[in-house]
Amino acid sequence: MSSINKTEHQRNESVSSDDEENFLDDEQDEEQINVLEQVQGLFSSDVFPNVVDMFRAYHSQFDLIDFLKKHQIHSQYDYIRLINYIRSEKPSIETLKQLKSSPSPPWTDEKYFETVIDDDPALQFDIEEDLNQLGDLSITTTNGHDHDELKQANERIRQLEDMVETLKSMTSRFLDDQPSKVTTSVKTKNQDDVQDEGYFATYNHYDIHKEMLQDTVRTESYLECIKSNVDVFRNKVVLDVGCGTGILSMACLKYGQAKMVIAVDMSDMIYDAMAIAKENNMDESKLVFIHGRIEDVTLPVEKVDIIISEWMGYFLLFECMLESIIFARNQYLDKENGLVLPDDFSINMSAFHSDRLYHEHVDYWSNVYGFEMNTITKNILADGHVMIVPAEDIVTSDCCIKNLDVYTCSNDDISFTHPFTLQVLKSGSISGFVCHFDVNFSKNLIEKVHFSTSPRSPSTHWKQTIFFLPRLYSVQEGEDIQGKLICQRHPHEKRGLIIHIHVFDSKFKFYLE
Amino acid sequence: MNRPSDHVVQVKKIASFEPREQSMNIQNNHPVTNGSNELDYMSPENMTSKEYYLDSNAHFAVHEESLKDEIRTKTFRNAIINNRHLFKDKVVLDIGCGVGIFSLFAAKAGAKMVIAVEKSNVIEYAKRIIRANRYDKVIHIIKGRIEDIQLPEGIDKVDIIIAEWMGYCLFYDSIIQSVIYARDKFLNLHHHEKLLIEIHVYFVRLQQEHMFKPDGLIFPDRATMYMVGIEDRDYKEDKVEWWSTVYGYNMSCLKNYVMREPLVDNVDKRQICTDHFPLKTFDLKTMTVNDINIVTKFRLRALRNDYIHAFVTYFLVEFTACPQRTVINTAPGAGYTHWKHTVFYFPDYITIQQDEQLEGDFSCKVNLENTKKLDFAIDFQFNGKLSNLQSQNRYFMKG
Repeated sequence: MSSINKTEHQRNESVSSDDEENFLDDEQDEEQINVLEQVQGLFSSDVFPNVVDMFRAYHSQFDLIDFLKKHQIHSQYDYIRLINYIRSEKPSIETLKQLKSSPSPPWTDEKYFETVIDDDPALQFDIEEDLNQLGDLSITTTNGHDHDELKQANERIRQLEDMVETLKSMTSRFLDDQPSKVTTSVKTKNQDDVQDEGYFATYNHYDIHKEMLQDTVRTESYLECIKSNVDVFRNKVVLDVGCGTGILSMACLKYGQAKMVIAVDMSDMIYDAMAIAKENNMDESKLVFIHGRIEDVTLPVEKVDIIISEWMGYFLLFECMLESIIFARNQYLDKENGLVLPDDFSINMSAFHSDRLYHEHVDYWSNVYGFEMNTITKNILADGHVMIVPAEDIVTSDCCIKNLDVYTCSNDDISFTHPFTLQVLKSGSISGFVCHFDVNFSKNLIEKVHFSTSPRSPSTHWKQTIFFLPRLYSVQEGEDIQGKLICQRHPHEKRGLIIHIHVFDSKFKFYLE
Repeated sequence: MNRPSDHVVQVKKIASFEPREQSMNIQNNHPVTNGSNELDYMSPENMTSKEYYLDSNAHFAVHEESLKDEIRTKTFRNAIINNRHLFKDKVVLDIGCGVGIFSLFAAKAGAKMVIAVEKSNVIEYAKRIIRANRYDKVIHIIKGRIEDIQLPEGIDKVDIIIAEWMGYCLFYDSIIQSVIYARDKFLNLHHHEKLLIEIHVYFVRLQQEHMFKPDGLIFPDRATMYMVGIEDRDYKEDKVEWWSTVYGYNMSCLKNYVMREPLVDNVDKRQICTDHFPLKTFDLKTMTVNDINIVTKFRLRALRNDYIHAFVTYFLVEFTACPQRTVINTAPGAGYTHWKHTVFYFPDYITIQQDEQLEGDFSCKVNLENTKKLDFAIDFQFNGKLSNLQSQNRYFMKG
C-alpha cells in the first residue's frame, strides 16, 4: 500500500521514532527519500512531511526566525542544542516565548549535543541556508554582509561568463574552420559544483592515475576487452567518459581500430592526456579531447556506438559516477546497437574476522598511551573503511546484494535494499562485514572479460570495503546469518553513501564519504 | 624504498577531499576557512566532505597517523612525563592540540593548568576525551587560532609552550609561526629580555643567542635540517622512468611533474652514500618569522664509491629543557616516523668516488601566508674522476 496516500492522522499511528522501518516498507515507493524527511513535531505529536512544513505550521504561534534572533542563535551548533533541548525537556511554546534572552539559555548545556531522536531531520535543517525556505526573511549572521557581497560577486561572474561565451561564438567565424581540440564548458557555480570541484581536483594529480594504471587487474581487463574484440570496435565511434591519462582512448584507436574516439574528463589531467596522445603519434583527427563534465559538454557527434568508462568506486557506487554513465547512455548511445563497457556488475557481501584489523582500528582507541579515547571509536564504527581483508579471514559464504545492468539501470539503482543470508563456515567470532564487487564485459562481445575485487582474487586498488561491528559476535559453523543491507544516498554529500546493515537484531549505520 | 602506507592513500581517497592545487575560485565562494562561523560550531560528525575540504584537520584520521607514530608521541611523552620537576604547578600552553594527547601528558606530569588551543573542529573530540579521562578541571580547551584567542581569566603568561609544529621537510604545513607568536605574546619573559629580543629583531643580528633566552620553556625548542646524497636507481626508475612506457604508451611528459615535486617517502639508510650536512639550525627561543627559510651552501663528501641519484633532507628536533638528551631524529635508519624523508630527484646522475666532494647551493623558501607552499632550489657542480655534472633544479610543494 502506498504510504503517500495515508493522511497525517493515519501516519501518527504507524510512525515510530525508527524511520528506517518505514523506509523498508516503502521499497516499492519511488519517493523513498521523502520518508526520511518526515519529522516529529517539536511541540506536538504530529508528524510533518518535512522540516520546512513543520516550522511553517507552527509559525503563527512560534516564529522560528524571531526566536533565533532574540536569543542570538546564529550557528548551527547552537541550533542543534536548541532542538535537542526541546526534544528532551519538551517545553511548551509559551514557556519558550517567555524566556528572556540571556548569555546562557537552558540549551547551552553540552548534554544537548546528544541527539534525542535518531536521524532527526530537524537537526539537519541548516539555519544559515534553509531559513529562506520559510519565507522572505533571511537570517543575519555576522557574515550577513559578506553573503550579500558574495551574491553580487557571483552574479557579476555569471554575467561576465555569459559575455565571454557570446564573444567566443562571435569571433569563431573569423578563425580557421577547425574543430577546437579543447572545449571547456562554462557553467554557473552552485554549492554542489563547489563540492564537486574538490572531487574532480583529487584527479588532477598524477599519483592517483599511477595507482589506477598500476592496478594491472583493472587496466589489463579493459585492454584485453579491446584487443580481443577488435571486430566490435572497428570503425566505430567511441566515447570514453572520464578518460584520465587517455589510455583507454588510445587503445581503442590503436588496437580497436575505432573510427573516432571522444575522450571527456573534468579534471586537469586531460591536458596531460592531450600531450600524451601527441607523444604517441595518435591521429589528431580521430582522437578528440573535451574538458568538462559529460553532462555539460557538447560532443562533435550526436550519437556514439560504444561508451567505455572506468567509473567504479569503492563499494562499486561510491563517487556516484554511475549517474554520469547513465546520462551518457541516455543522451549519446545509439539505442539499437550501442554498447556500454563494462556492462554487468554485482556487489557481494560476506562476514570476516580479524583480531589484527579489529585491534588496529577499533580497540586501539580504548588505550592510547594510557588515556581513554573511546569517543573516537564511535566514529570509526560509523564509517565504511577501505582496506585489504585476507581471504583466510572470511568466515562465511558470499551473498550477492546487488546486481547492476548498465543498459537498463537508472539513478535510483544507487539506492537499494537487499536481504542477505550468510552461511557460517567456521565457528568463532565476527569482526564485521566485507563487501566487494565483480565486473563483467559481456553483452554482444565475442570475447567476454571478467574481474573481481573479492578477497579471494588478486588485489586491486579498490581493495575491499569493510564495516566493523561495535563488538565481536559469536557464531557457530553451519549457522545462517540473516539480515538486510540498505544502500542510501548521502543527503548532504553528492557523491557519498550511507549503508545500513540490519543484522543480529540490531541496526547499524555506516557512512562512505 | 618502502611505499607510502596504504592507510594514507585510503585517507586521501575517502576521508579528505584535499586538492593538490588550491583554486582561488573556491576560496571566493566560501567564507574564510579558519574562523568561519559555519565550521566553528559544527560538530565533526556533522561535517561532510565539503567541510573537510576546508578544514582537513578536523577528521581524526589525520591525527591518527601522528598518534600512532610512536617515536614522535613517545618522545613527547618522555620529555614531559620524565620531567615532572619542570611541569609541577606550572601553566602550560599546548598549541595545535589535536585530540589533546600532549595536554593529557602535561596534566599527568603535574601541571597546575593546561591551556589547549586548536583551530579545527577536531577539538570537539579533545573536549570529550579530556572529560572522559577526568582532566577537565586542569585542561582548559580554547577553540581558535592562537593569534585570535585570549588566555583564561587571571592568566597573563604561561610557563611552558608545547607544540608539535614540524611538517614534512620541517616546514610543510607547519605551525612554527604560531609558536613564535605565542612565545612573544604569552611565554613568561622578564620585561628587559623581551625588549632586547625586539631590538634584536629590528637592528643587528647578534651572535650571542644565549643572551636572550626567555625564562619560559618550549617543547621542542631546537631543530636542525640535514641533507645527504643517496643512490636510488631502482626506485627512481619506478617513480620517474615508469612514465616512459605505460602499457606501450609514452607518457614522458609527466616525468617533469614527478621530478619537480619533492617526494615524501621512506629512504633506506643503506642508500646513503655521503656524509650528513647540516643545512641550518633553528632556535625556537630566539628566532623570528623571517628566519623561516634556508639559504646556504652545502658540501657533501662521498663515504664510498657509488652513484648519487637524489638528495634527501630530514630533520632532528631537540627538547633542550630536558636534562637528559631528548630528541626526535627523523634520519633514515633512526626509526620510522610519519614525517618520513624528503627526496629531491635531479635529471641524470653522478658517479662518485670515496672522499670526492660535491658542492652546491640549497635554498628553501616558505610562503608565510600559506605554509603549504614551499619553493626549493638545489644547484650544484660536480667534477669528479668518473663523472661531471652541473645541475640547477627547482622544486615546489604546493599543498
